Amino acid sequence: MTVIEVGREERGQLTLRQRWSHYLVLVYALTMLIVGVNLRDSLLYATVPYEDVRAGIRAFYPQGWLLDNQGDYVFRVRDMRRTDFKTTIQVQILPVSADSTTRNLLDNLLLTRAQIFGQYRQFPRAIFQLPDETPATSVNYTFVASQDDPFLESFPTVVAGQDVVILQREQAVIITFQASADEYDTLYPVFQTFLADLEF
Amino acid sequence: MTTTSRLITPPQEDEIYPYRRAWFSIAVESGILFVVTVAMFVTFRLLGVRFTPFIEQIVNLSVVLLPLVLWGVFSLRRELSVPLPRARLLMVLVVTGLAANAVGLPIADNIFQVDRWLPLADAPVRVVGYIITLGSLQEIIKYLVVRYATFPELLRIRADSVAYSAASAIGYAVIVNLRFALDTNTDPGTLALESFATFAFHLVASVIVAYGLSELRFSAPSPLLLPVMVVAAAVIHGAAIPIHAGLTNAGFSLAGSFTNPVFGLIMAVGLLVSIGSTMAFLFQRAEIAAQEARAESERAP
Amino acid sequence: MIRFTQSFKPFWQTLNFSVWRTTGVLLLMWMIGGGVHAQSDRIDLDRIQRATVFIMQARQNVTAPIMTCVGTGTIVSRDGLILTNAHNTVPNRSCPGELLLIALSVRAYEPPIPLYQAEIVQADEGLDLALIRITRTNDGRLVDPAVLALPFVQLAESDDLRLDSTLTVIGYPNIGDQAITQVRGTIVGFTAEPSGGNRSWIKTSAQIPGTMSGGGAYNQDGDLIGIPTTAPITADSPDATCLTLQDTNGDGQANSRDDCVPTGGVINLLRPVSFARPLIRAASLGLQVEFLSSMRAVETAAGTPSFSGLFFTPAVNEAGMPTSTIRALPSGSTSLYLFFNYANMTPETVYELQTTVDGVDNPTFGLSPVRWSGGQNGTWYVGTSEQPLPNGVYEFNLLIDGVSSGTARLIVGPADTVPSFSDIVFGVEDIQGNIAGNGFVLPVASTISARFIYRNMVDGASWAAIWVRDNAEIPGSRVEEIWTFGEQGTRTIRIQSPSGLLPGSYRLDLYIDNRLAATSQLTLAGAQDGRFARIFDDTHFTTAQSPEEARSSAAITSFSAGTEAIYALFDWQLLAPDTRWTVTWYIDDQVFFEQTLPWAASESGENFLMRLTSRETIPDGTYRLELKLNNLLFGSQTARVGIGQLPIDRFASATGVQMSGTIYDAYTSMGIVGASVFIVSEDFSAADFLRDWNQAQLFASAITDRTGRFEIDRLLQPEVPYSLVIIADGYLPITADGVEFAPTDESFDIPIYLTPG
Repeated sequence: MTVIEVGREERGQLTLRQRWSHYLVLVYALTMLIVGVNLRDSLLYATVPYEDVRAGIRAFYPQGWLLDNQGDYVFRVRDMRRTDFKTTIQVQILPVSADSTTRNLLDNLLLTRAQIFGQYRQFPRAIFQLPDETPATSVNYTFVASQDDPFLESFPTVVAGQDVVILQREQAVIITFQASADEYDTLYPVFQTFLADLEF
Repeated sequence: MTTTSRLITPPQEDEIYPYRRAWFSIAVESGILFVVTVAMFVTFRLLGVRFTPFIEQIVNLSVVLLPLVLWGVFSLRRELSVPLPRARLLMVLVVTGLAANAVGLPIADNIFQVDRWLPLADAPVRVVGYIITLGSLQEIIKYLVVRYATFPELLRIRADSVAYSAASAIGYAVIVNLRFALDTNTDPGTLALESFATFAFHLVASVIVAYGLSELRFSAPSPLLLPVMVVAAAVIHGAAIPIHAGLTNAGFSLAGSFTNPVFGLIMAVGLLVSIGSTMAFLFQRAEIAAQEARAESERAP
Repeated sequence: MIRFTQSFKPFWQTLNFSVWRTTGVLLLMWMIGGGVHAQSDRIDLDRIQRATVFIMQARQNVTAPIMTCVGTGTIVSRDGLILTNAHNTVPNRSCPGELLLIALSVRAYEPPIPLYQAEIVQADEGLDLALIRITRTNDGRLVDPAVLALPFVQLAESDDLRLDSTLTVIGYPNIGDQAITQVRGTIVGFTAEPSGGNRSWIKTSAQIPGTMSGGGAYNQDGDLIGIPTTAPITADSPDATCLTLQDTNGDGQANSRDDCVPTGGVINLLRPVSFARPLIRAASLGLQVEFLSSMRAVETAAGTPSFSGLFFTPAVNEAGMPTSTIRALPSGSTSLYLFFNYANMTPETVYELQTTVDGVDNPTFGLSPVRWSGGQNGTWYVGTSEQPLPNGVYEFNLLIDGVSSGTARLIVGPADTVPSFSDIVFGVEDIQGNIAGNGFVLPVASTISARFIYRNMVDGASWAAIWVRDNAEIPGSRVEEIWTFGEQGTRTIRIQSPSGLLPGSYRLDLYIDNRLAATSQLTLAGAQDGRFARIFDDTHFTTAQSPEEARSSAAITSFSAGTEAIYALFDWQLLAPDTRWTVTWYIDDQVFFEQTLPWAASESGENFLMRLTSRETIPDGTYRLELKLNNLLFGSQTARVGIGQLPIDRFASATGVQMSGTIYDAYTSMGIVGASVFIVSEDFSAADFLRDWNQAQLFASAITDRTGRFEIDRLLQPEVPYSLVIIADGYLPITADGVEFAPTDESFDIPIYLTPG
C-alpha cells in the first residue's frame, strides 16, 4: 500500500553555518538586553558628588538634579525634569542646645512648616536607622504645594515627604525627601540610595 | 502569379514569473503611503482643517491602518493570484504584531524605560541608547518571527525574505502606530507624518535583515553575515529615531519655537529610498551572482 | 463640522502678540474716553496694572471678615511691599479694621481676586502714606518674601515734573467688582506746604474716583510720580456712597442696619512719591528707629482745632519764613502763600482751603480736603508757585473738618506802592553792629538783633515792633514810634534781657499804621559758639547689649557686619520744651527716617538715646544722623556698618523685558504642565548649565501652569546674551545661547512646541 502524504511540509534541515548565525544573533540579542538595562541604570541612577567642608557633609545626589545651596540649608537638589512636583532632597543643619531633644526639634519643624505649607499634616514619628546604622528619627508628612506666581493657573499638588533627623554634637542634621504623593513609593529608592552614600 | 513565402517566427511563449514581485509591491505601497501622508499634512497642518473629535478619531485609525490595507491589496491579494504564492505571509504579519504588543512594547516601556532617560541625554548618548534598546529590540523580535516561521523551507527565492520581512515590518509598525494614535490626542496630519516615519524605519531595517537571511539561505556566507545585518538594521533603525526627532524638534527664536515636520518627512523618505535602493541593488547583485554560478556549474562537465 | 486649528499658525498669527495687545488697549482706552492724548510708547500698562492692587480693610468677625474700607495700592518692590494711603489701612475711627486683604488683577479686564493678607510696616498718618507688606496667603500661610516675585513699579523723580505734563492714574474705581481703570489728565499746579516745600501736592485735571485713593499716577515713562490722596471718605461725607455689602449684625438681612463701606468722592490731588521714598527705604530694609530717652508725654490736643492769624506773603525764605506780609499782589505774580497759626491739630484732622476769584470757585489755588501733616500747634502755610495768578479779588476760606475756621482776602492787580517792611533777619550783633550768625536759630544770649528792609515809607507814619515768645508778648519789648528813617533802607532793632533771654520760639511782628507789615520767627537754643548756636553736642554711635550699657559705651564709627542694633546718643543744651526739632537718618545718603517733633525732654542734658534696629541685622551701609532746627543742621555723625555700602539689589530695577509664553506638546498641541524654563545668566552657556545643573548659574526660572503657560519673574535686561533651556520629562529639550533683547523691546509672549522624545 502506498501512503501519500498530502499537505505536510518537510522541515528543512539547517546547516551548521545557519545554526551558528542564528546562535550569534541570539547572543547579540541577549547582550543588547543586558547592555541596554545597564546603560539605563548608569544614566538614570547616575550620581554627582557634593561636599561641604564647613558643614562636614559629603553626599552623592542624582545627576541632572538642580543644585541649590543659597538658602537656609546646606544644599538642596530638585529634579526639575518632572512635570508634577519637583522631587526634592535637602540637607539642613540646625544648631540645638544640649537640652534639646528630637521631639523638640520635630515640634518646631511642625509649627514652622504648618505656617508655610498648605494642609500640612505630620504622621507619627518612628525610629529610623541609616544604612550605616546611625540611629535617627523619621517623620512622614503630607502637604499641598502650589506655585507662588499668582498670575498663573496652577493646580496644587499633594506632596508626601519624610524628614530624617539625627542629633549629634549640638547640631541637628535634617535630611528631607519630598515627592509627589502619587509617585512617592516609586521614587523613594532614590532617597534610600542617597542616604546610603551620605556622610556627615 | 508568384507567391513569396517567408519564415514566420513562432511566437515565443511569455515566461510567467511565478512569484509575486515583492519589491514592486513595497514600492507601490510606500509610494501611496507617501502621497497620502503629504495630503494629510497639507490638509490638517498647513490648511488647518479640523473635524469633530469623533471623526478625527476615525481618520486617525484609518491613517494607522492604511499600511495594513495597502499591504493587503498590493501584497496579500496579489500573492493569491500568482502561481507560486508565499505561505504564512499573513501569519508572519499577525505574529509580529502580537509579539510587538506582548513583548516589544512592554520591554521598551517597563524595562528600558526609554522615555525617562533618553530624551534628556546628550545627542551621541541618545543615538547609542536607542540603537542598543529600541533598535535592537525591535529588529530582534522581527527577525525571530521571520526566522522561526519561514526559515529555511519557505524561502524559495531571495525575494521571499524581502516579502516576509516586509510583512513583519508592517505588523510591528502598525502596532506601534496604533498605540501612538490611541494614547495621544493628535491631529491626523501629525499622526500621518509619525506613522509614515515609523513604517519607513521598520521597513528599511527589515529589508536589511532580509538580505542576511537570504544570503544565509542561498549562499555560503560567513556565519557573521546575518548577525552583522541584524546589527546594521538595529543601528539604522535605532539611530533614525533620535535623528528624526532631532530634525523635527523646534529651535528657539523670539517669535516662537515651532517644530519642523517637513524635515522629518524628508528624512524618512530619504532613508526609505536610499536604503531601499541599496538593498535592492545588493539583492539583484546576489541574484545575478547566483545565476552566473549556476550557469558556470552547468557548463562545467 | 470644520474649524480652523491654532496648532500651526499661519503667518499673520506669528506676529508678536504684544502688538495686538497694545492695539487692543489703545482702542479700549479711546473708547472709554481716555482723552485725546496720544498713548506713550514707553508706559508698560500691563505691568503697571498687574502691580496695582485692590486693598480691603476688614475687621475679624466670628464667622468671616467684615469689610470696613477699600482702596488701591501699588506694589513697589518684588517681595510684596505695597504703597498706599494710611487713612484706609491704618486702623482709625473711619476705618477700624485690623485685617488687610490684597486682591490682584490676575487677568486684565477682570475684577481683582483676593490672594494675600498684608501687614503695616511703615505709616505716616499726617502724610497719609503707608507701606504694607504681603505676609500671608488667603488661607493664612506665611509667605516667604524671598520667593515672592511680584511685578512692581519704578519710582520717578517728582522734581522732574512740569505743568501740563500728561499723567495716567491707575486704580480700582469702586468696591472691586470692576476691572482696573486708568484715568488720564495733566498737571495743572503744585501746592506748597512746610512739610514738603513748593511741591507738597500735585494738582491734576484728572477726575479720579475716590476708591482709587492710594493708587498710582504715572508719567509718560511709566514711572510712579504720585499717589492720589484724599481725606477719608466717611458715611456722612457729602460725596460719599455707603455700600452695604454684608450682614454684619447677623440678623439675616443685608440692609441699612448693617455696617457699610464708604466709597465715592473725586480726587484731584496727588502726594508726590518723594514723600514715600524714606518710608519705602525703611520698610524694604526693615529699619526701625526708636526714641529711648524718657520724654515728657506729648500732650494730646485738649481743645478744638483752630486756625488764626491769617496773612499773605509773596515768598518764603529758606527757613520757611515769610519774606513780608502783603494785602495785595501785583499783576503777573506767580507765587502766593497764606500763613496762619494753628492749634490743637491732630493727624486725623481734615483741613481744606477753598478759594474763589471774583466770587467764582477756583480750585487751582485751593487745597482739597486732606489730612493734617503738621504738628499740634504752630504756624503753617499753604501756597502756590510756578503759576501766574490772574487779576481779581481772592477770597480764601480755611476749613477744619468741613467747618470754616478762618478767612482772608487779597487783591491781585496793578502794583500799589504801599509802605512795606520785609526780609526780617535775626542774629547776634558784632561790635560794628552787623547782624551775623544763622538767621533763624540763635544761641541763647542776652540780645537779639533783627534787621529788616523798608520801602516806600513816609516820615511821620506810625510804626511798631512787637516781640512775642510762646504766643505771648514779651513785656517791655514793644516799640511804638513815628517813622523818621526815610523812604527806604534797612533798619536794625533789638531786644535785650540783662539776665539772658530764655530759650524758646520768638516772633517779631512789625506794624505800619496798625497793619501787620511783616513777621518772622526765630528759635533761641543752645550755647553760644562764636556767632552760632551749639545745641547738640557729642553726637555719636555705639553698640551695646542694653540701652543702659549704651550710655556708657565708647563711640564707634565702624560697625562689623551682622550688628543687631546701633545706638545713637547726643548731649543737648538750652533747648526749650516744644521747640520743633528734626531728626533725620540716612543710609548711603538716602533718607530712611525723618521726623519733626516738639522737644519733650529737659532743657539741657546728656545722652539722649535713640536705637536703630532691623528685621534681622543692620544692613551694610554708611549711616548718618542729622539733627536740625528750622531746617538748619546743628548736629551730625556718620558711621559705617560692614562694607559701608548697601549691597546691590539685583531685583530693584523695574525696567527690562518681560518674557512669558506657553509650552505645547508638538503632537497634541496641548499645554505641557510642569515644564521648566531656565534663563541662564550671561556668564554661562546652556551646555554649562546642563553639565553642572547649578542654581547659581541661573538668572531666572519658571514652571508652566496647567495650561502650559509660564512667566519669567525677573525682567530681562536688553542687550545681554542669556541662554535658555526648556525641559520636561519625556520631551526633547530646547536650548539656545545668545538670546538677546533689543532696548526697545518691552515684553515677549512666545509659543514653544516640545517634541516628545
